[in-house]
Amino acid sequence: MYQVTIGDRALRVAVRAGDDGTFVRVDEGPEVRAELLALHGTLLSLRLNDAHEEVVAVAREHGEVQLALRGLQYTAEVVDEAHARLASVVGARSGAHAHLELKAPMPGLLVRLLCAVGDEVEPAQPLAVLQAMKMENELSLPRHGRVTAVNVTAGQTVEQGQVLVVVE
Amino acid sequence: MFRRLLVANRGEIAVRVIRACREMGISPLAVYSEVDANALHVRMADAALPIGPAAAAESYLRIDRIIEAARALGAEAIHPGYGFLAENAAFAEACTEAGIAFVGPPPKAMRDLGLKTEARKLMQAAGVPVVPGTLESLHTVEELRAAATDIGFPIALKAVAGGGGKGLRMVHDPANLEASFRQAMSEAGAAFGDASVYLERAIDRPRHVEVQILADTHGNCVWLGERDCSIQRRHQKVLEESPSPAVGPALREQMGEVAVRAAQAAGYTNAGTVEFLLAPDGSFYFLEVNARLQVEHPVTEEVTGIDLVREQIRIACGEPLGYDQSAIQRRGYAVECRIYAEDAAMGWVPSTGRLVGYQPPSGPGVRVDSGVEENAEISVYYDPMIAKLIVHASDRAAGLARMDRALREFLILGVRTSIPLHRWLMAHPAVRSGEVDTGWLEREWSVPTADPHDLEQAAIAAALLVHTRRSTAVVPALDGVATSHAGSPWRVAARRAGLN
Repeated sequence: MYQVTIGDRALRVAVRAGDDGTFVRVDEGPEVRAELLALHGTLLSLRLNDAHEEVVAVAREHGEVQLALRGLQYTAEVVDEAHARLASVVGARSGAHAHLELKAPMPGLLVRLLCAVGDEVEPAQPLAVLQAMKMENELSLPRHGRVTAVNVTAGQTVEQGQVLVVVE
Repeated sequence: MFRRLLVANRGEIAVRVIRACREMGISPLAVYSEVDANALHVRMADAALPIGPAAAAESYLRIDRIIEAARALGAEAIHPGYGFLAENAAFAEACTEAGIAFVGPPPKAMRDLGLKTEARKLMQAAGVPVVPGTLESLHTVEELRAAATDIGFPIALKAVAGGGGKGLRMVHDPANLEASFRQAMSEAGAAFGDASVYLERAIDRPRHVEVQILADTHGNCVWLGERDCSIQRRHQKVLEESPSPAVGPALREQMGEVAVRAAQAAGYTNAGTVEFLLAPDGSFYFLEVNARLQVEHPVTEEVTGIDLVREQIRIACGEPLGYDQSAIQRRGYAVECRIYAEDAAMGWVPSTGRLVGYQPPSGPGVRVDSGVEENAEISVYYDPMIAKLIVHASDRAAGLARMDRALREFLILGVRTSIPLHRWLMAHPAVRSGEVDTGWLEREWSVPTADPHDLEQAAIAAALLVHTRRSTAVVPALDGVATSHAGSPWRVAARRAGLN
């Protein structure tokens, strides 16, 4: 049994090895025969009963899987349910989820900071303005929360991946 | 005809020009920066020379190094592509001085059209309608305030030296005038090295409609129809289509004739684009001339069947067009989606990384112009466009359906892309009915929620991938190797599972 988290959705995927193949069930849905065929490179074919769907996918560290299907991308966090139960006891998972970091997507000049510690921020609300590639880019986060840390000041040059703002 | 032609560019447009050369029996030559040493355009060319480090200012913008490479490779012509030096009159002149043909308009036309205030004066004199505004650049806030009061709000502040939305600020409230003036000047200065701005009246809810023209050096000039680029984000085109759903035969004819007049007024030759703002009442205004091949040129190629790059090279070689306006036929409908490496959820910032997965679409009526392949690196140094996806179909409805089909087939992994935006566009009623304007996308866009069915399949695929690895990856050392290399773990796991 796997717990698969994609964005704010959590799905339970049961995988069962039968005599005539592998079977999966999502949450309370019907069990279907499933197969993942490697085509070439990262290209796979997902077969569910008689339907095929092309997928490109890579497995990263810590059960993270990045994949694209029907033109759209997904980042899935896959946790073996036994591990998940353990993690929830420790509280690590809930902590990891409540905490969101705004990172500089590329090196550039931080032109403006649009939030301060303690601010309640909305999804997609601009939190900082980064000048890079000759354009001013407004940076935001996809979830709401309260700003708990601001690690930079306006006018500062930042590196790619640098954590600018932390929201919980 | 030229025997050897150097492409002074990179990425998809370099590949596009190299393909045209190959078809014309011209030997294509390339230049590259350090990070592009193994890029597709370099490998497709007959010969290539390095011109410097990754930063464009040290390589693709270095006129001296490019001319030197062209000489060393024996190029008779240089095609600048778009961006970089494409609209740089000094570069065109340097080519001429070196005895190399520049595939583009004459430097004087480029200079006159490059300065928006000069272009507006030129067009007004030629009877081409321009948006009411100042004909000179503005130097002080007082000057600006007086002009703005005169014209009436809302107004648009624009960079004298450039387009593409850089240095452009819309001002609705007089209170924001001073701040917007400063922002526009600083952005214009950073982008073009010239901070001058001027003012135009803001047209309410306009469409962006542009006309492709071709002019030879013998006085012949034709228009090839319009492209509607109204779907924009921050003044950057996102989707381009032809014909425009807002342009009927009479208006098309009128815009085409005005575009030819505009080109001739500027002494323009080669391929060019005359951009107009089309107001809801059907009146249209000159915006600017793009003195180069446009990103969206394939849309016109698909509809007219004319290879614009081939025509550019023929014109640069001094050949006459060989046909007149009556020979230009338009058939069906074409649309282009620009697939950018951008992250919608993070405010559309460019996304960089390695394309660990790249599966482009194909099939009837589908064209992908791209300079990348699987494992290519999308870096911070250049434009984050991954590919242009163009489809051609009998009519608009069929074209949008075909585009949606092609977008579904387009699988990219490693960087975030604008494909979700394009799939959202294809499903939107306003896009289907064609009722959009240049501000529409920014007003309407919201990150779409995932389709539950897609999400389920994604979850199954992810779980199976992890499951396969877990049940087969028994050697910890190998597992460590597998997780540290993107792309390879699956192959390793699949091989162990006997899938390969």
